[in-house]
Amino acid sequence: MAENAHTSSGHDDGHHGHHIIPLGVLLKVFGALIFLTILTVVLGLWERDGTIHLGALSVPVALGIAGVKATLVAMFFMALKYDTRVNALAFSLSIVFLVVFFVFTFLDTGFRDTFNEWPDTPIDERELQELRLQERNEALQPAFEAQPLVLPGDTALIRTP
Amino acid sequence: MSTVTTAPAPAKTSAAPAHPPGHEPVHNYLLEPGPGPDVKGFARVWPTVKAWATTVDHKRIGVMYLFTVSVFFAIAGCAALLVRAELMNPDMDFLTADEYNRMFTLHGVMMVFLFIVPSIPASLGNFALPIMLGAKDVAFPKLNLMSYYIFLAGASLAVYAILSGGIDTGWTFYTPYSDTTNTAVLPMTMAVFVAGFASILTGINFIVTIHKMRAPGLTWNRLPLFIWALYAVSIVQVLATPVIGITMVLLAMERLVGIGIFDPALGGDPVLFQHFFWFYSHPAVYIMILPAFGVISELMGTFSRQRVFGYRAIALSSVAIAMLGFLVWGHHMFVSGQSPLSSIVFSVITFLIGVPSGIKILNWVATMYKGSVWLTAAMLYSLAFIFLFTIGGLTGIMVGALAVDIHLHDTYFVVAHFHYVMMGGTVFAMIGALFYWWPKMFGRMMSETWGRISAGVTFFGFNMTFFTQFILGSQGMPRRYFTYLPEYHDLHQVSTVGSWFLGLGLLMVLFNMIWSLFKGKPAPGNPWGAATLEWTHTTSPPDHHNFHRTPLVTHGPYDYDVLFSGDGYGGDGAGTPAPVPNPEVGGPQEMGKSVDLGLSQPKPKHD
Amino acid sequence: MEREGSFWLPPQSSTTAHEIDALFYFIIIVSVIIQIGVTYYMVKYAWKYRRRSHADRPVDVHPNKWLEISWVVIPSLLVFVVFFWGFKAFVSAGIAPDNAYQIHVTGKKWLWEFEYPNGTTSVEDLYVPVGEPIELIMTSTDVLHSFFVPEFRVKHDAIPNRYTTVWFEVKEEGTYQVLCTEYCGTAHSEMYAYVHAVDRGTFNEWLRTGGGNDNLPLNELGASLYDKAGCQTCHSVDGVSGTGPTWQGLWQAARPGSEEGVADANYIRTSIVNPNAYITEGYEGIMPAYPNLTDRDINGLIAYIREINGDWTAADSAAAAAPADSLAAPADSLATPDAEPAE
Repeated sequence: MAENAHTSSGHDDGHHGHHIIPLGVLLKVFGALIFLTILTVVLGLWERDGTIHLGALSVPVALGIAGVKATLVAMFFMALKYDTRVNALAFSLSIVFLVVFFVFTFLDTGFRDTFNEWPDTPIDERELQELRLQERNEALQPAFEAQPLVLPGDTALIRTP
Repeated sequence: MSTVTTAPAPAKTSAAPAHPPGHEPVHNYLLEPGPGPDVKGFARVWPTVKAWATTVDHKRIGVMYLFTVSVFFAIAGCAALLVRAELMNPDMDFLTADEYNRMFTLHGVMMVFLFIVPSIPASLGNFALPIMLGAKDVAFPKLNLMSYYIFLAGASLAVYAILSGGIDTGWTFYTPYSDTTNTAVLPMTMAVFVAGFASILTGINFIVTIHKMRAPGLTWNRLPLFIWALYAVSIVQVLATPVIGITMVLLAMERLVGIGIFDPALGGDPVLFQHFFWFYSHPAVYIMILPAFGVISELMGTFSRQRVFGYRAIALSSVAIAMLGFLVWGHHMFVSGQSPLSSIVFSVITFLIGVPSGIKILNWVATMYKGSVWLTAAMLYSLAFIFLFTIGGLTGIMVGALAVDIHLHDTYFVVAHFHYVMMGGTVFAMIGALFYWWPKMFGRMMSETWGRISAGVTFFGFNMTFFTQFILGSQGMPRRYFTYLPEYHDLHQVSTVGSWFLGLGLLMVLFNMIWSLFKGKPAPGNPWGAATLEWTHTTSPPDHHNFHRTPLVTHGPYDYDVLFSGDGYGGDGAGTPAPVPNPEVGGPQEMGKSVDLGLSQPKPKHD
Repeated sequence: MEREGSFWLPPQSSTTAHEIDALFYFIIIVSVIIQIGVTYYMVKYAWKYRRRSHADRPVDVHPNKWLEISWVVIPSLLVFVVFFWGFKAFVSAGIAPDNAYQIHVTGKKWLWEFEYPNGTTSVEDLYVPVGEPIELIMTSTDVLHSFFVPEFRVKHDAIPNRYTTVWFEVKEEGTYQVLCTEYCGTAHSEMYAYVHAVDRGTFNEWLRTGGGNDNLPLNELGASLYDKAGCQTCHSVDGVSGTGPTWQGLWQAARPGSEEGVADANYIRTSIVNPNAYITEGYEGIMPAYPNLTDRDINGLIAYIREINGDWTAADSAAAAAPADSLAAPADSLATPDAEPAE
């Protein structure tokens, strides 16, 4: 009975078939993580400079990249890929709570204009928008004025008693 | 009939030799491991300190937690008395405005993080959980000790923060105020961060112990409801506490480095801090109340000598409350600037949580039906809990209603509500639990007479202090106010005087506890006639390794018939004639009777 | 206050207050019934089934399925009723009528400032016409504050860099208390304001004269600003040193480092607009700037300081009342308000 109580690996009790991840795999994952980090920063800089226009997509893209990185860390650095399914299940259940947090917070930040539009945009963004609007109007003004609404010949259309 | 004589006890934890016959502890955990009886006087001090400081015995760790959280409760309680004294008159000025702000923040932070979150799980949970499961210890005893030291480290950081001037942000640390105030916010946030790990590790320990170390015959459906409550609490602790840790780190980085996540000038959102903070702090209030629910189930069952009505409903509702508790945090933020849509969603789910709590209350009252109700001090505290928590829960419905909360948010109504559930709820349950488990923990009975009197005094003082605050709040008195308009004067005076009665009642409990350690009657194994393993299978106090032999469980936790069956529950069929359960002697002791069938419990490496 | 409130609630002074009160009373009444029920059965069972002897055996009680179902279903129905009622009242309290008169509110440590569509500003006193819907567009310049009028059942946080809104319609003329209900520091408990509901005529007159300040003599204007603009939080006038230097003895006192070497009108003006330019020895440089005070306001404060130092005579008042001194914005312009600049 005592011999069957232990696994055949001969390791300390508590570990079953401990899988050792090869150094090459670890380094490749590390490389991928570094690449994805650089990608995040570059995309952020491009978005700020105007090279690309992600707009509302910028948050999902950033979260997506972060999700890929987290999955790589979990599967390889935390060795969940080589572990029993139960542990992977426990890990993914905790992701559920993260999703809950994001979804409910988005219910707030995405719908601030439910009753009226005042709370929707921060004041500094509003002022920036108004400034841009003003600048655009000023830029258009010369073109607007270049075309007079009333031409000299039109006065002939006005009857004088 | 055994005569119970009390020999003068030399040290506060020594068991007097006059335990009823058959109930004497053999390897009293309070004394062993430690210096033997041959070491006398001051030579005992260092070996005792070393034995306790390096212990991995869950019972000793539970006692150390109990002592530590009690110290913080006392300090934070004094802060509360000072706060109320300052509010006696609007022009009372023995505290300046800044000192007052630091004082109420101290009260909140210390009570929430250093007292109430660890209170029942870390002290009584650590003590009782393994014994109730029939195990020798928790799954990770050394981790358990490390939890305690991490808690002490966090607490030391908090004390340091207080001594270096304290903080004045309120326990909720709202930005931008906590971002810019010149007080010791950094050490305090780090204190909360560190202390959180104690919560997480204890939670992990409990979950694994409950899953893996139950005695043979102890199925999930036979688990005591206190264990179900601790299980639900541990899940919440593991999932929620990391969030407050990170929130504190983000706040610290905001102050140190200016990352701009909460600072509107840098594009951040102050309301985001509130989302982060309450995502933990709302489940935290369920961490505070669920163990209290578990305690009340135990007390109502034992002191009605009747199985708890609706066992399955209570067990499952604990888990439901734990899970739903993660979806309602926005009800603290109805007027904070969050979108009305999210307010509506949060309000709906908040109301859903009220229903399981209500079910529990009704089940507990129904437990007494056709039972045999014994009004000990513990039972009186338990009945007080039912009364006070019902008020707290119903006023929770009041503030959970969207429109009404507009008027009541950040007023004394909310203050009264959460004191009714946290103090009228958790603290009263904890005092009841202490009266209940005190004989098991220290081998002494507390004074029942003084216990009952203290129950009356605390109940009266509590209602006088906090019921008036409902009225203050609905009349418009805001919270965190150092001074107030004259129309609120009378009610504030009543509330302050009530706080003195409450303090008096709590002092009575404290003196009762200390008195019992010196002069209390030595306790038999099962003075209350309960049917869970810690009462039926161990001495008071238990042996260092809990059980003489691994128990075999053949009945549910509230099956009080076994007190009368001569068959015992070791399955040995000895056919001993049914004794009349006698609290003096404590019911049939099965310590010698259980049969070790050599199943599942591995032999301990260290004994 | 002459208005009568009830035991639980302040007087219902706005048109939406009764909706909130009705739900409040409904919940209280249902709660009292439930509380009495629970207590009654608890006490009854504790007495009726009290332990007769320690030999009492447990009695078999059959679980009553319908009882358990009823006490799941009935509370669930009750909470849904309460939710829908609260939802309706919440929507009605949150959406202002289209024709609401908009006033901008700024919360700052530790006072409330109000700005009207014609440019009139007022500190601490919010004048509104009675019987007309008013919408407050609120923000803060430093930390979170919350605008609470108990008698109107109105409350919302004021957040830096964002606008938030509340609306109300006052039922009768009177003065109503405003309190700050989001903890904001030392003087959080003293951050009061007052809503003055007046008839249309009085309100128009008040608005036209720029809040009545145009007609105040300079020294009285300064005295009123001393209170309302929050100077009294840090500066005393009786010689007691506080967070800031006292104004007693300030006029023409020696101030090495200033232009003329003494605390004259320019020194005081600079200290208000750019406080960290001259920091008096022995004090910290924590005074906030007050860019929203007009030139006339600052002249008023200078006049007040001169008055308490005994250097302001009737002749000075007469000279100051000359129109050239009045630099207030034209009171009847219909300029729309600019967005409140974020601090």
